[in-house]
Amino acid sequence: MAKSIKMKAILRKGTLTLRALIRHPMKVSLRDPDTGELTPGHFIQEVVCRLNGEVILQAHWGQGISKNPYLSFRYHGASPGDRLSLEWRDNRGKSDAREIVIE
Amino acid sequence: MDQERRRLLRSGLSLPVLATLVRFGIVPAAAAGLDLEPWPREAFAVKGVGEALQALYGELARQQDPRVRIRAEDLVENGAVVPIRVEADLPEVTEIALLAEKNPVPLQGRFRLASGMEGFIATRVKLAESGRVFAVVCAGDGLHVAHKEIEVTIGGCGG
Repeated sequence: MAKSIKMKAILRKGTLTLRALIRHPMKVSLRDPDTGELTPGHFIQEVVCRLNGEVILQAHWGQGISKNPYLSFRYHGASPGDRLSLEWRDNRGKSDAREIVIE
Repeated sequence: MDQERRRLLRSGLSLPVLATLVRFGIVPAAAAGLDLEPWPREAFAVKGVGEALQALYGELARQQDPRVRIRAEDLVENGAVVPIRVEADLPEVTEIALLAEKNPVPLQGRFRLASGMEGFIATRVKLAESGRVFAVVCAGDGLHVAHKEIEVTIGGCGG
Protein backbone atom coordinates (compact mmCIF):
# COMPACT_ATOMS: atom_id res chain seq x y z
CA MET A 1 0.00 0.00 0.00
CA ALA A 2 1.46 3.31 1.16
CA LYS A 3 -0.17 4.85 -1.87
CA SER A 4 -2.51 6.96 0.23
CA ILE A 5 0.37 8.85 1.86
CA LYS A 6 2.55 11.59 0.42
CA MET A 7 5.34 12.81 2.67
CA LYS A 8 7.93 15.49 2.25
CA ALA A 9 10.54 16.05 4.93
CA ILE A 10 13.02 18.90 4.90
CA LEU A 11 15.94 18.95 7.31
CA ARG A 12 17.52 22.33 7.94
CA LYS A 13 19.97 22.98 10.80
CA GLY A 14 18.69 19.99 12.73
CA THR A 15 15.04 21.01 12.41
CA LEU A 16 12.90 18.56 10.54
CA THR A 17 9.77 19.89 8.87
CA LEU A 18 7.32 17.28 7.72
CA ARG A 19 4.48 17.95 5.36
CA ALA A 20 2.14 15.07 4.69
CA LEU A 21 -0.99 14.51 2.65
CA ILE A 22 -3.22 11.50 3.13
CA ARG A 23 -5.81 10.47 0.59
CA HIS A 24 -8.97 9.69 2.55
CA PRO A 25 -12.69 10.63 2.19
CA MET A 26 -13.08 11.78 5.85
CA LYS A 27 -16.87 11.46 5.68
CA VAL A 28 -19.03 12.74 8.55
CA SER A 29 -21.93 10.80 10.05
CA LEU A 30 -25.20 12.17 8.72
CA ARG A 31 -28.67 11.71 10.10
CA ASP A 32 -31.52 12.05 7.59
CA PRO A 33 -33.75 14.81 9.02
CA ASP A 34 -36.94 13.05 7.79
CA THR A 35 -36.32 9.38 8.45
CA GLY A 36 -33.81 9.77 11.29
CA GLU A 37 -31.66 7.19 9.56
CA LEU A 38 -27.97 7.46 10.35
CA THR A 39 -25.32 7.10 7.69
CA PRO A 40 -22.14 6.33 9.60
CA GLY A 41 -19.05 8.42 8.90
CA HIS A 42 -15.74 7.19 7.59
CA PHE A 43 -12.72 8.99 8.96
CA ILE A 44 -9.17 8.59 10.15
CA GLN A 45 -9.01 8.27 13.91
CA GLU A 46 -5.33 7.93 14.51
CA VAL A 47 -2.08 9.07 12.91
CA VAL A 48 1.24 7.96 14.38
CA CYS A 49 4.62 9.33 13.27
CA ARG A 50 7.82 7.64 14.34
CA LEU A 51 11.41 8.74 14.06
CA ASN A 52 13.75 5.73 14.07
CA GLY A 53 10.92 3.71 15.59
CA GLU A 54 10.14 6.10 18.46
CA VAL A 55 6.74 7.78 18.45
CA ILE A 56 7.15 11.55 18.03
CA LEU A 57 3.53 12.35 17.21
CA GLN A 58 0.22 10.67 17.92
CA ALA A 59 -2.80 12.46 16.49
CA HIS A 60 -6.39 11.55 17.30
CA TRP A 61 -8.83 12.87 14.74
CA GLY A 62 -12.58 13.10 14.47
CA GLN A 63 -14.88 13.99 11.61
CA GLY A 64 -13.80 17.64 11.71
CA ILE A 65 -10.56 17.11 9.79
CA SER A 66 -10.96 17.86 6.08
CA LYS A 67 -11.08 15.33 3.29
CA ASN A 68 -7.59 14.31 2.12
CA PRO A 69 -6.00 15.45 5.37
CA TYR A 70 -2.92 17.63 5.51
CA LEU A 71 -0.53 17.51 8.44
CA SER A 72 2.64 19.45 9.13
CA PHE A 73 4.91 19.49 12.16
CA ARG A 74 8.47 20.40 13.15
CA TYR A 75 10.93 18.35 15.13
CA HIS A 76 14.26 19.47 16.56
CA GLY A 77 17.17 17.08 16.64
CA ALA A 78 16.85 14.95 13.51
CA SER A 79 19.80 13.89 11.37
CA PRO A 80 20.30 12.73 7.80
CA GLY A 81 19.67 9.01 7.53
CA ASP A 82 16.94 9.02 10.20
CA ARG A 83 13.87 7.00 9.31
CA LEU A 84 10.55 8.83 9.53
CA SER A 85 7.32 6.90 9.28
CA LEU A 86 3.66 7.83 9.18
CA GLU A 87 0.84 5.40 9.81
CA TRP A 88 -2.91 6.03 9.87
CA ARG A 89 -5.89 3.96 10.92
CA ASP A 90 -9.57 4.81 10.32
CA ASN A 91 -12.82 3.96 12.09
CA ARG A 92 -13.39 1.01 9.77
CA GLY A 93 -10.08 -0.51 10.75
CA LYS A 94 -8.36 0.31 7.49
CA SER A 95 -4.81 1.55 7.69
CA ASP A 96 -1.78 2.48 5.68
CA ALA A 97 1.82 3.32 6.46
CA ARG A 98 4.84 4.80 4.80
CA GLU A 99 8.43 5.31 5.77
CA ILE A 100 11.02 7.65 4.31
CA VAL A 101 14.69 8.23 5.00
CA ILE A 102 15.64 11.81 5.77
CA GLU A 103 18.25 13.33 3.48
CA MET B 1 24.07 7.70 25.33
CA ASP B 2 20.60 7.59 26.78
CA GLN B 3 21.95 7.50 30.31
CA GLU B 4 24.05 10.49 29.46
CA ARG B 5 20.93 12.30 28.34
CA ARG B 6 19.09 11.36 31.53
CA ARG B 7 22.00 12.66 33.53
CA LEU B 8 21.85 15.95 31.65
CA LEU B 9 18.12 16.16 32.17
CA ARG B 10 18.58 15.59 35.87
CA SER B 11 21.35 18.15 35.99
CA GLY B 12 18.65 20.78 35.73
CA LEU B 13 19.76 22.37 32.47
CA SER B 14 17.00 24.62 31.27
CA LEU B 15 15.00 23.21 28.39
CA PRO B 16 16.01 25.84 25.83
CA VAL B 17 19.67 25.09 26.60
CA LEU B 18 19.02 21.38 26.34
CA ALA B 19 17.11 21.87 23.10
CA THR B 20 20.10 23.71 21.68
CA LEU B 21 22.46 20.94 22.75
CA VAL B 22 20.13 18.45 21.09
CA ARG B 23 19.98 20.56 17.95
CA PHE B 24 23.75 20.57 17.57
CA GLY B 25 23.97 16.88 18.25
CA ILE B 26 25.75 17.31 21.57
CA VAL B 27 22.93 15.53 23.34
CA PRO B 28 20.98 12.89 21.44
CA ALA B 29 17.36 13.73 20.85
CA ALA B 30 14.78 12.08 23.07
CA ALA B 31 15.28 8.37 22.73
CA ALA B 32 12.06 7.62 24.55
CA GLY B 33 9.07 8.29 22.33
CA LEU B 34 5.45 8.69 23.34
CA ASP B 35 3.42 5.84 24.70
CA LEU B 36 0.34 5.44 22.55
CA GLU B 37 -3.04 6.28 24.03
CA PRO B 38 -6.44 5.00 22.92
CA TRP B 39 -8.72 7.20 20.78
CA PRO B 40 -10.65 9.41 23.26
CA ARG B 41 -14.17 8.28 22.40
CA GLU B 42 -15.95 10.48 24.92
CA ALA B 43 -14.12 13.67 23.93
CA PHE B 44 -15.31 13.13 20.36
CA ALA B 45 -18.88 12.35 21.48
CA VAL B 46 -19.71 15.42 23.59
CA LYS B 47 -21.38 18.50 22.11
CA GLY B 48 -19.54 21.38 23.73
CA VAL B 49 -15.99 22.76 23.72
CA GLY B 50 -15.92 22.78 27.53
CA GLU B 51 -17.14 19.19 27.80
CA ALA B 52 -14.60 18.02 25.23
CA LEU B 53 -11.78 19.68 27.18
CA GLN B 54 -13.11 18.18 30.38
CA ALA B 55 -13.12 14.73 28.75
CA LEU B 56 -9.56 15.16 27.49
CA TYR B 57 -7.88 16.97 30.35
CA GLY B 58 -10.15 16.82 33.40
CA GLU B 59 -9.68 19.72 35.77
CA LEU B 60 -6.33 20.91 34.40
CA ALA B 61 -6.16 24.71 34.79
CA ARG B 62 -6.90 26.71 31.63
CA GLN B 63 -5.78 30.22 30.77
CA GLN B 64 -5.99 32.47 27.76
CA ASP B 65 -2.46 32.89 26.48
CA PRO B 66 -1.28 35.32 23.77
CA ARG B 67 1.75 33.06 23.20
CA VAL B 68 -0.64 30.66 21.45
CA ARG B 69 -1.50 31.92 17.98
CA ILE B 70 -3.99 30.57 15.47
CA ARG B 71 -3.12 31.32 11.87
CA ALA B 72 -6.15 31.08 9.60
CA GLU B 73 -8.15 33.31 7.29
CA ASP B 74 -10.78 35.54 8.95
CA LEU B 75 -13.24 34.80 6.18
CA VAL B 76 -13.44 31.50 4.35
CA GLU B 77 -15.68 30.68 1.45
CA ASN B 78 -15.60 26.91 1.81
CA GLY B 79 -16.00 25.53 5.32
CA ALA B 80 -15.10 22.03 4.15
CA VAL B 81 -11.42 22.89 3.83
CA VAL B 82 -10.06 25.53 6.18
CA PRO B 83 -6.26 25.66 6.46
CA ILE B 84 -5.23 26.32 10.04
CA ARG B 85 -1.98 26.38 11.93
CA VAL B 86 -1.23 26.72 15.59
CA GLU B 87 2.01 28.20 16.86
CA ALA B 88 2.75 28.05 20.56
CA ASP B 89 5.72 30.01 21.80
CA LEU B 90 5.93 27.87 24.93
CA PRO B 91 8.44 25.35 26.25
CA GLU B 92 7.56 21.69 26.70
CA VAL B 93 4.47 21.57 24.52
CA THR B 94 3.09 18.06 24.91
CA GLU B 95 -0.20 18.41 23.08
CA ILE B 96 -2.26 20.69 20.83
CA ALA B 97 -6.02 20.31 20.42
CA LEU B 98 -8.26 22.03 17.87
CA LEU B 99 -11.96 22.65 18.50
CA ALA B 100 -14.75 24.50 16.68
CA GLU B 101 -17.61 25.67 18.87
CA LYS B 102 -20.30 25.46 16.16
CA ASN B 103 -19.42 22.00 14.81
CA PRO B 104 -21.71 19.04 15.67
CA VAL B 105 -18.53 17.40 16.99
CA PRO B 106 -16.51 20.32 18.42
CA LEU B 107 -13.26 18.40 18.88
CA GLN B 108 -11.55 18.22 15.51
CA GLY B 109 -8.33 16.65 16.59
CA ARG B 110 -5.66 16.45 19.24
CA PHE B 111 -1.98 16.14 18.46
CA ARG B 112 0.25 14.56 21.11
CA LEU B 113 3.86 15.66 20.74
CA ALA B 114 7.02 14.00 21.99
CA SER B 115 9.93 15.92 23.45
CA GLY B 116 11.80 17.59 20.58
CA MET B 117 8.62 18.54 18.77
CA GLU B 118 8.05 22.25 18.25
CA GLY B 119 4.80 23.75 19.56
CA PHE B 120 3.48 23.87 16.03
CA ILE B 121 0.90 22.04 13.99
CA ALA B 122 -0.69 22.75 10.63
CA THR B 123 -3.70 21.00 9.14
CA ARG B 124 -7.04 21.62 7.42
CA VAL B 125 -10.35 21.45 9.24
CA LYS B 126 -14.08 21.54 8.53
CA LEU B 127 -16.23 24.34 9.91
CA ALA B 128 -20.01 23.86 9.90
CA GLU B 129 -20.69 27.57 10.28
CA SER B 130 -19.17 30.86 11.41
CA GLY B 131 -17.89 30.83 14.95
CA ARG B 132 -14.88 30.55 17.18
CA VAL B 133 -12.10 28.04 16.70
CA PHE B 134 -10.07 27.15 19.78
CA ALA B 135 -6.48 26.01 20.01
CA VAL B 136 -5.66 24.41 23.33
CA VAL B 137 -2.00 23.84 24.06
CA CYS B 138 -0.88 21.55 26.84
CA ALA B 139 2.46 22.79 28.13
CA GLY B 140 4.06 21.89 31.44
CA ASP B 141 1.90 23.65 33.95
CA GLY B 142 -1.52 23.55 32.29
CA LEU B 143 -3.64 24.46 29.30
CA HIS B 144 -2.94 27.55 27.24
CA VAL B 145 -5.86 28.65 25.11
CA ALA B 146 -6.35 30.91 22.11
CA HIS B 147 -9.39 31.40 19.94
CA LYS B 148 -10.18 32.99 16.64
CA GLU B 149 -13.45 33.98 15.04
CA ILE B 150 -13.76 32.60 11.52
CA GLU B 151 -16.59 33.57 9.22
CA VAL B 152 -17.76 30.85 6.85
CA THR B 153 -19.80 31.54 3.72
CA ILE B 154 -20.57 27.91 2.88
CA GLY B 155 -20.65 25.38 5.73
CA GLY B 156 -18.51 22.28 5.63
CA CYS B 157 -20.63 19.47 6.99
CA GLY B 158 -21.67 17.94 3.70
CA GLY B 159 -18.21 16.34 3.32
